[in-house]
Amino acid sequence: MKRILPYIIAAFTILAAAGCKEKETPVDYNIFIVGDWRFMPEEFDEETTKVHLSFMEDNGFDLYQKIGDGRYRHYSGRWEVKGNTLSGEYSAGTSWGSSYALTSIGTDTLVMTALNGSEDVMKYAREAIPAEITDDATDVKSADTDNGRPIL
Amino acid sequence: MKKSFIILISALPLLYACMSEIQESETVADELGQALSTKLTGNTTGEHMEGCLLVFLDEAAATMAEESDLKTIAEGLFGGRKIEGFGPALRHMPKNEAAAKRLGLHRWYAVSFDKSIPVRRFAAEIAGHPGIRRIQFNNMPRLASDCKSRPFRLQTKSGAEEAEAIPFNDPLNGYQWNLVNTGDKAVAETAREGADVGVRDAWKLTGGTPDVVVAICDGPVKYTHPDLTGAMWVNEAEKNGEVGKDDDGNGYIDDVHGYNFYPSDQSHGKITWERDGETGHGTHVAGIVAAVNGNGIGISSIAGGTGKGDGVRIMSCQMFEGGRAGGDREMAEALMYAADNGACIAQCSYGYSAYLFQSDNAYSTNAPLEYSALKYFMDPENSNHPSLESNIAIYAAGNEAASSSDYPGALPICVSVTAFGPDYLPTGYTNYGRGCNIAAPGGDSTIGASIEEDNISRILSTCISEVAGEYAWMEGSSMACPHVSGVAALGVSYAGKLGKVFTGKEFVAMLLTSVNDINQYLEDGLKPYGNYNLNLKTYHNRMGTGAVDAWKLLMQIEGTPSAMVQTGKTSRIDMREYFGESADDLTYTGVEFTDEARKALGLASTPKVKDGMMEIICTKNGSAKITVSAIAGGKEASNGDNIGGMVISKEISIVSRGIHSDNGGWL
Repeated sequence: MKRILPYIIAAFTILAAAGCKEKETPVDYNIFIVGDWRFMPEEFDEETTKVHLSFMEDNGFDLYQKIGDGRYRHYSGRWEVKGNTLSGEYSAGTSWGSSYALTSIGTDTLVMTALNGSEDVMKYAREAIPAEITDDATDVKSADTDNGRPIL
Repeated sequence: MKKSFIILISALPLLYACMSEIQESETVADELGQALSTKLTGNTTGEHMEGCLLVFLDEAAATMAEESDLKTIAEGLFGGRKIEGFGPALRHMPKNEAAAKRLGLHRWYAVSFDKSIPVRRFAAEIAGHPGIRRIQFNNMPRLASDCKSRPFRLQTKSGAEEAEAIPFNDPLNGYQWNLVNTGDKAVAETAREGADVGVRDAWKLTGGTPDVVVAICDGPVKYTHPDLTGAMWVNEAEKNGEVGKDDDGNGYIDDVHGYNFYPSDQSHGKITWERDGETGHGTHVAGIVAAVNGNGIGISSIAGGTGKGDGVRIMSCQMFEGGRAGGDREMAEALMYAADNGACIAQCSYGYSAYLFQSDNAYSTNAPLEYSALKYFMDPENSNHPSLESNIAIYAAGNEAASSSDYPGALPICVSVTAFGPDYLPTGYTNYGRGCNIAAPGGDSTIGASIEEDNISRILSTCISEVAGEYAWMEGSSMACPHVSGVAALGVSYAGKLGKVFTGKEFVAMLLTSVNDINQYLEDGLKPYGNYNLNLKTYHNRMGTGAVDAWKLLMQIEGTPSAMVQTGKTSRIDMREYFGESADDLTYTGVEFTDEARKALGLASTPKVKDGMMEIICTKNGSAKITVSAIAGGKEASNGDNIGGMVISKEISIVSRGIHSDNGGWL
């Protein structure tokens, strides 16, 4: 027993070290973010604030939003993650309104905190975008500003 | 009340005896003149029906008239004068008796007499009776087109671009630039793509539904026309009932597809298109609204269905016969019939000549019976579609090239439609300016190309074969008006499909803000028009809110997105999203919001609208609604003493958050 104890202790040490390394591994948001997400409104009316995001592996994204009434509007563009900072631009080059600090809660919740000084916090749940939304959405053809009015 | 009326009746023979003895006295003539001048209402200089007067009785006289024998009442009112008829102006009390009495409709009576007696003289002679409060000539409006129906003769099919763009197999739709205008130069050298009613994409959502009934208040609709027969409203009780009998008890006999209100000894209420002078005007207008789509016959229409006979329905409320107009009484009766028998839209391509009435008060004072009937039609108790809480009336602006709309279209309760051609420019004939609310295709032969003698820049629609063939060309604000009625009918149909409900005002506000901008073409320049030129600047911001667009109306009915603004910053919201493409040319009258909205958004001050942009500062994240109002049709709202525009209000949902992107995107 005395002879093998050091080996047992060493084994536990190695295992413990291995376990600590798994807990400390940071989330790779480039991978985590890929997929579909649904906005979970907290300070807005859930019935009139509907947002769905889809981040693709090729760094493209689709955004479907229905803010208020009417049809879903479809935007698209490119995204980029550096560390835990998400940024992007819409098709034709208009930047997003902010870049975002990303935080994950479990595997199915993404928190985005605006980095434009407003510190707005938005939570998203991992959820597939229903086909009836993607099929009927009106495309926003251009990100060109027209005094804040999208060109459909 | 009864006693006093009997006394009055008893006094009458004496009164009239006195009158006959001293008629030559200047004093009595003055008194008669004064009595007439205080009681004679309405237009006395325009066209009116001979041998007929409308009298508005006081309450006591009206009650007596309801309860007593009409002959006795007539003798009391008119003394020994020989009259040919006396009775309620409305042949039948409208279905909603309470509303009718509230509007005083039960107090209107009509007296007919020998046509050789000038109406003014007869009016003067009865004006003295105290039971008669007002006397009105039975005035006659005019149709809003030149009423020339030019037969469709083309043997070769042209306008191939339009034909491909219109998704129905109706063989003549290649000539219908008014539905889909591809800018085809075969229509006119100056034809502009998009100068139409924007209906092509709208048809993907709806072609109209049969529960929407449009009353054509006009000449007759030839209900046996092959392209209309499947679109006619049918009174099933009358259709399956007995000829010569009022099977449904609505007061009208054999009103299978509507009724003929023109006072004709020959027609007796039967819809008639066989009189000399008939132009086919009513049939033409009906075809624009709802000629059956996709039946392989003739033309397509705005709300004629999707090819399954599922379009809106047409009710013929005939007020003109052989091109001759009925009077106020007939117009009133037609409107009330439409209300009582299921129409939710009154399509009215007629009016009183521009400049005849220079204010709403002048019109309502001088055409009180028709005005009351309009209000009856639009009374919320009489609404005829579950998605529309009150019926709507759409009128032609008129064709006198006047700087104001004809009445009744100019009223703030009616929609008044101006006319443009395939070039998107005003026609030389259209009225414009004060009281005009929206523009639509009316046809413009001065710019059109003629092919085999047909000028295809007019409007092609159904007509009466006995008059000008099954299909004919016409032009006028008469033709523009049914485009707006058709779009409105599509809108009501779609609202029904979505289960949405709107008040009449809300719906009209959506209609008048579902427009494309034509002011951009009217900033300067001249348009040749016959022997002279139109100065286009004259029409800038005077054709109404813009050119009607059916797709935009359906999108509004689906709902309008919120405006997203950035918390803590001055944000500018483009009003075009809410007031149409000409929003920067409108006159805005106010921004309103509740206290709750103010708190939800942290509004420190009232938002302001300038040059079509609303400036707003929200100090908190949140959402709320505010209401913005503007004038459709002019710079001044109607105040009774002017010809003003209609105030339209839109509710705008605001979402304020810390993030804002220039294109409205969420990220």
